[in-house]
Amino acid sequence: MLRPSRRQFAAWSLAAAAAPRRAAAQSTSERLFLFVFCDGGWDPTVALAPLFDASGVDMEPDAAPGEAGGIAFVDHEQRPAVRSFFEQHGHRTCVIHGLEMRSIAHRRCSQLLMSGQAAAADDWGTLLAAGSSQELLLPHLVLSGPSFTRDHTHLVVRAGSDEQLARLLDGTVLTAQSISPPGDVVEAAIDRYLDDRLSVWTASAGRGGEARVASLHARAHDQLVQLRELSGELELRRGLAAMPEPCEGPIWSQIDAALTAFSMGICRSAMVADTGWCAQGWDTHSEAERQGWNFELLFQTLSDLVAALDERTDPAGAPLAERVTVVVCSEMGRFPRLNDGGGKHHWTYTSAMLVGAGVRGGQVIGGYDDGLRGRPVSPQSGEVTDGGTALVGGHLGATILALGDVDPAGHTTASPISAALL
Amino acid sequence: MIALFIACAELPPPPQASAEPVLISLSAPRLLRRISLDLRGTLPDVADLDTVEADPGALDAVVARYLDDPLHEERLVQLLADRWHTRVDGFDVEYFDYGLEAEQEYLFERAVGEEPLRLAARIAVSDRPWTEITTTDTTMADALLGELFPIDYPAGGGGWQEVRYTDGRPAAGVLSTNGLWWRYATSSFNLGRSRAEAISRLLTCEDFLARPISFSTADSGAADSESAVREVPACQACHASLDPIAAATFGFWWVEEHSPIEIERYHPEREPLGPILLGVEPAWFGTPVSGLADLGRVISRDDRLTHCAVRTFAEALWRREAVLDDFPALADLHETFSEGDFRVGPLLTAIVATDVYRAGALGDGADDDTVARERTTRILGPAQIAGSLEALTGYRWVEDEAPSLDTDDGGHRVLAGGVDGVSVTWPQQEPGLTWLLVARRAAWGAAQLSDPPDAQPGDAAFTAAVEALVWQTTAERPDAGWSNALGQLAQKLEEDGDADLAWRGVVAAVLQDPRFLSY
Repeated sequence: MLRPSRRQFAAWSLAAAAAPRRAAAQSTSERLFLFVFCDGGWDPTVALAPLFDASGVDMEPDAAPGEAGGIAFVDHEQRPAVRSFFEQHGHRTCVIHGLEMRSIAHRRCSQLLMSGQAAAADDWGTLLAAGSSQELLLPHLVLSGPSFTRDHTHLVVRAGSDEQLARLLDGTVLTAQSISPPGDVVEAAIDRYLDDRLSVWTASAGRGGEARVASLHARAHDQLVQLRELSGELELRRGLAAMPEPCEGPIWSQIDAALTAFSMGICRSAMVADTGWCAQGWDTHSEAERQGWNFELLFQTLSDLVAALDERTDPAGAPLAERVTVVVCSEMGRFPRLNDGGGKHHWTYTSAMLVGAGVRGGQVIGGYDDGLRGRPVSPQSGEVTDGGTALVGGHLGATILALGDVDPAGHTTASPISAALL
Repeated sequence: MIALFIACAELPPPPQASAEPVLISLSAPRLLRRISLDLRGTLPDVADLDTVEADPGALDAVVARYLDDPLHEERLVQLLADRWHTRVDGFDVEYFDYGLEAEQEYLFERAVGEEPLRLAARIAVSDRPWTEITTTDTTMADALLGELFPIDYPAGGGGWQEVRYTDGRPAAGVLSTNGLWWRYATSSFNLGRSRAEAISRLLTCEDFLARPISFSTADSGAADSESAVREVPACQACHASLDPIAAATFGFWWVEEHSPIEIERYHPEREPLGPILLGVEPAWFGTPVSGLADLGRVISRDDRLTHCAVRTFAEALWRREAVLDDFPALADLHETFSEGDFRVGPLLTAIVATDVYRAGALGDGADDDTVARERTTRILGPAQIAGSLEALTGYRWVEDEAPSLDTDDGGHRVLAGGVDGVSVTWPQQEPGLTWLLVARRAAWGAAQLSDPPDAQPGDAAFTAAVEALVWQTTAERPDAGWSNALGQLAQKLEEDGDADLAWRGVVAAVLQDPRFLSY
């Protein structure tokens, strides 16, 4: 159900092949990141954390402990995709348990998980984009899901919820108002005028705020001009325009747009939100069984994703699998006990998965106690140990930044979980 | 004596009175433009630009007039929306639940979301004390809300009006508005705590969610989460204050959150549920209250309400968060606010007179923190772009019956640097790709509605019209280089088309010019 069609694959391959020299020339070996954010708070005990011996945790009936690819997980006959994924890709997957968000409010947890801070701050994807050595057209591409920024907002390119970016690019936002877009000649003439004006301004701008705004304005202008020059733009637009249809592969089209951007060498990090079965989300205060459906769909998608990373290449011809790290996470977990409504409330501890490039796979880091509280961990070994480190969102972020060769020190007081790194 | 003389002679010279300041003010026309964009959401009138160019001392009088402009009330709604986050694209109850048509979705969502914002803005522009925002027995409604909510909206009335609910709800200002609680909904699990958190954060700038919580240090003996918040010290650090506030909000307790008839009405019979379900009596940070109206009264007497207002408006106009170094300035502003009986007009007047607000450049003495912090140049946000373009040419970018720069449901609010109130909660500060792309498309759309002068490129009249356009849109007189660039552009476009294309192309270029898109 979630697999892309042959036509889609052909179109995206063409897009990558048609990427212009300028984009290809930007390619380096720096790592790329795809965030898959399970929106609403997943329940790790449904698929990732086999806590069958924990007296304080309500595990799902008919579930059983499973192990594959070095990963201990929760097996269930109705979730074959989970087992299949770990059997095939467990060796390049690292599961991290016991991340404490120190809140149980969705937005705050999202912010703490994705930026490590309660106050306004740039999230990990944005910081990775800021840390790129390249001038990228779509530095941090947010196709859906949370996006927190403060200092580097200009590096975030949001696709919009309804094809907005695609429609802005091709001018249909104007034709929808019965306005003819400017022709190429007119646009080129205006571009030249703006080039001159921006040159004058950037040369004369005072330091501080004016210099920042002038240079970033000039940068955005250059990005627009480059984007119009991309011969593969049409295919990229098609990827951006392919918004999810509820109950029909809810996130694949967005994941594929991100991979297209990676293949074209124009993007450092991308964010997509998984909204679960029929876009009903992961916030299961009732109907806990939806967690199982969501995990089954999620792991189907992840299998497709890893297969696509193996098949597709960056502008230099290297498999994306050698460059892309996939971060799968959710802003919170679920309370260990079922409530009267057959669901589970919010819980401050959650888990995350790192898959792919740079990740020391086939291992589970951290764990939970009988009450589903995270246990302290040795960041070096990844093993649970008394007197170890209580993991928070900052540790996940520091690990991600370290994978991206971005020094975490300026962004979080937490240190990387070195056991997760190759 | 000789030694003292020598010592004095070796001291460094005293600072010169004429030393360059750290924060250098914008020129008077450019400052007027900033003030107009911030207080009215649109460009200043050309006559006002001319006036302050000739006499910078006239600025204060113009500012006073702008504070009385009807556009100012609209702008306050926008500024507060960036902070209170109630202008969202969707609530638990949707337009179709009321039998409205799809083309009324935007109107419905904005009417609901703006209710508390407009009440606060109306109190501000009518020179009433800010403290009324938690005590007044009125609210704001437009004709649509007049049909939907139990209020005494006048028959045949139009537009936003100050009205009263008729369902017996307590007089507690914004705390008694449906709009606030539709945005900050609660559940049978949350028991009003998210609402208590919102009250504290929005009105007193006390952010419970910013407090670190360590469940690692929590006593593991609690049987469930409800027991934990009552018994575990780590939880009580917040819940000891939070839960008593929540206990006062149960007149807005909903049995079914997707039912219009359930959530549009206040339920006085449910007020006792708060203390029962939460196990605490209503109180405001230790001061017992008898209910929602009493809560509003106690909050209105809490100094943090007015200090928070100062911080909220200062941050909105400074375009950055307040830092420790700002506390003396904020204290001065609060004193002004207090002396003005907590009327917002004098406060805003004082804020736009601060050096931080007026700064357009930095002196050599600016330290690294100042260089990194101060927004000496700002970018237009979506509301300012929309307001300016409409004032200039009458252009309104509307799709699916909604202003495209004011919605994310098919629109471009966030892409243009705005706040959606959910995932984007702080306005974009610096230029980015989608911001510029939206601005350029809007500029082109607006330019097509601009009437060309009766002149050809190269004519003195055409050149004069272009220079007047630059002055009107940027508050700057174009120098020779700028004029030449525009003249060359016009001639190129005339060669490729005609004089009309030349004019509209020049207008589009000016509306994409970095000096128009920044302020």
